[in-house]
Amino acid sequence: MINPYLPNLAVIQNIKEEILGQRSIKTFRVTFLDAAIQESFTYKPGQCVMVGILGEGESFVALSSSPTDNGYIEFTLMKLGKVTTALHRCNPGDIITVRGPYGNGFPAENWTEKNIICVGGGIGQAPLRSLIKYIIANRKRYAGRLDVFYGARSVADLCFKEELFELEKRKDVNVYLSIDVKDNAWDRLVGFVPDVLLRAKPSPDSAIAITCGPPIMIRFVVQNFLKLEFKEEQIYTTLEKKMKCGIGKCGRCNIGNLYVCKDGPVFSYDKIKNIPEAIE
Amino acid sequence: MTATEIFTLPKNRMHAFLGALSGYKLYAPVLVEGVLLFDLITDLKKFSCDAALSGNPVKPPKALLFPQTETMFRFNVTRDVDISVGKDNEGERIIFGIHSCDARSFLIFDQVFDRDPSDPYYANRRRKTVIIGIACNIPGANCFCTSVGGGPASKEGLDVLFTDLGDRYVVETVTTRGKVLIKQVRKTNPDLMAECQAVDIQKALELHKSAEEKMPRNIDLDGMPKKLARLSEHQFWSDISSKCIACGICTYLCPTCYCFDIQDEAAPLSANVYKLVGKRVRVWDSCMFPEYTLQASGYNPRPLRIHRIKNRIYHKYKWHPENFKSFACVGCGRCIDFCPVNVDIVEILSKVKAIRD
Repeated sequence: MINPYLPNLAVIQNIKEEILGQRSIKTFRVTFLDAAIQESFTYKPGQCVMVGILGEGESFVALSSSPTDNGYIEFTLMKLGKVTTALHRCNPGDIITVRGPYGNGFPAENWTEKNIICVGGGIGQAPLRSLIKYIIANRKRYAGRLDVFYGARSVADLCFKEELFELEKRKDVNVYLSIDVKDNAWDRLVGFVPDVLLRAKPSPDSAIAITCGPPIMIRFVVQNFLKLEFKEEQIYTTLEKKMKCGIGKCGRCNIGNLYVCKDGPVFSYDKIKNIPEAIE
Repeated sequence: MTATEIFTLPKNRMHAFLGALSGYKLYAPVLVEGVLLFDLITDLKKFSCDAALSGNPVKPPKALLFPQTETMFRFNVTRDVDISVGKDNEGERIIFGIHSCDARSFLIFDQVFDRDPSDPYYANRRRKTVIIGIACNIPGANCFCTSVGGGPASKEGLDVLFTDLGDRYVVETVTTRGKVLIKQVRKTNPDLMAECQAVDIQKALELHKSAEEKMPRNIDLDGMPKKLARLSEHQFWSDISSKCIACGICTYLCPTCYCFDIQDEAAPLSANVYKLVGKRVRVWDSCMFPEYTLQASGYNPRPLRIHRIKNRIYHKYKWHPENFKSFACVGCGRCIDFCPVNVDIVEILSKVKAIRD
């Protein structure tokens, strides 16, 4: 019988410091030690893994790489609790554990004909990065518009900054980068992400809206999408809860009868709007 | 499923019956310092029919399939990293003398632990466990098994059912597995059990019926999931939760509560370098504790007792039924019997029913 709790060993290839400071954020690029596992490891944008350090524990995290990135996986973590703090102490070459992939991921296979609007804030951009990279790698199949809204408190709080600047240069992507407060070193948009979205007025026609970020941002982004006459089932978000098993057994990540680790983390707004614990 | 076979076994031959179950580890209710508990029977003299039948063991049998603490694997981080799962030393086991409510709890565990994907630790023990039940002739003061789809002589989850007729038992096989077991006993002890007479079958059925009629607590739970759906914001939950002291005993003694935590226990081999030996363990957890859902960010989706109590009730009588078509409750009454502040789940459900909405 397969033991779903047994993690695979993986080696850290590269660590990119996205944000410095107290709540620093790093992107880890890792490769499974077992080449056969690396070869067969497939996932969807929006799916997650349990990453861990033996002796410390495990943490549920969205993959920030795209399934089209071959030979490695990436995830992006904020230094917050026991496990993420231990991971932030790691160096390239260190061995960590990974099991998964878990969760439903984005139903991107149904979105090939859609105009896709991604709205991210802070580290919430991680699963969106996976989706955006995936769409760009399959741009022929995904022929609709691609709008990318991303914002952070300040320039120093922007994740994936260089990549987003590169993305701006593409003709087939509309990028709206913003910071909350005016800064002389910043020549792009200023304002809260939900307001930037409202001003840009994306059309709901044949569109899919996906928002990931701090709960307060999600709440207002959803509100504004509804104002822009998007239907509830057109709006997707990802949820976050404490998790231990990743496979819908340990109990704690439920919202109503659904388990975020297994039935989520991606939900359309109509499915979760009436569940009080779903969005903070 | 298979046609049942029914025998009688004289009570004074019980030790001979249990002794014939060779090749199995035997677990049964015994008095341990005055408390009735499921325990490993290494010496049959320790086992007394009367004690075993004196009521439902204080702790449910879930620990026999889902230990309160268990090692999932060991690890060794030195120059290389090594993960090893312990050898499977678990032999075939029998749980004897279990009541129907507790046997049904295993079916609820199966829904969670034996599918999508299977939990290998649980599933391994489950496959190696034969379950012999004893019909409950005198329900306890807070029993309500008949209200949640069970009954004092329900055969669900059992391989063999015993019914106590005073000086003898009616022994009824339920599954093929039970049939094989009884056949094995009869083969080595041909005189132990006789074909059951029609009059004894009748007597057993009457006992089952009378136990059902004696059920002290009753509540009609038809429509409960829908009713709960309409009451999630009701003031009522605040009144209920003010009494609870969040001790978690209801979850620990619940035969169907399965939530767990996973923790690493490790001893560093060096103060400076990441070198250690340790193990990853699984331990029972409880949704009654705030840490259960407390996130690293400091955010807690269920920070108050009102949230946690509601979650427990909703899980058992709304969400689990939505997912698996059965209540996550077998009506054993332990959470009522042992709550230090008299939180009474039947009373809560009755009040829910009585709220006009």
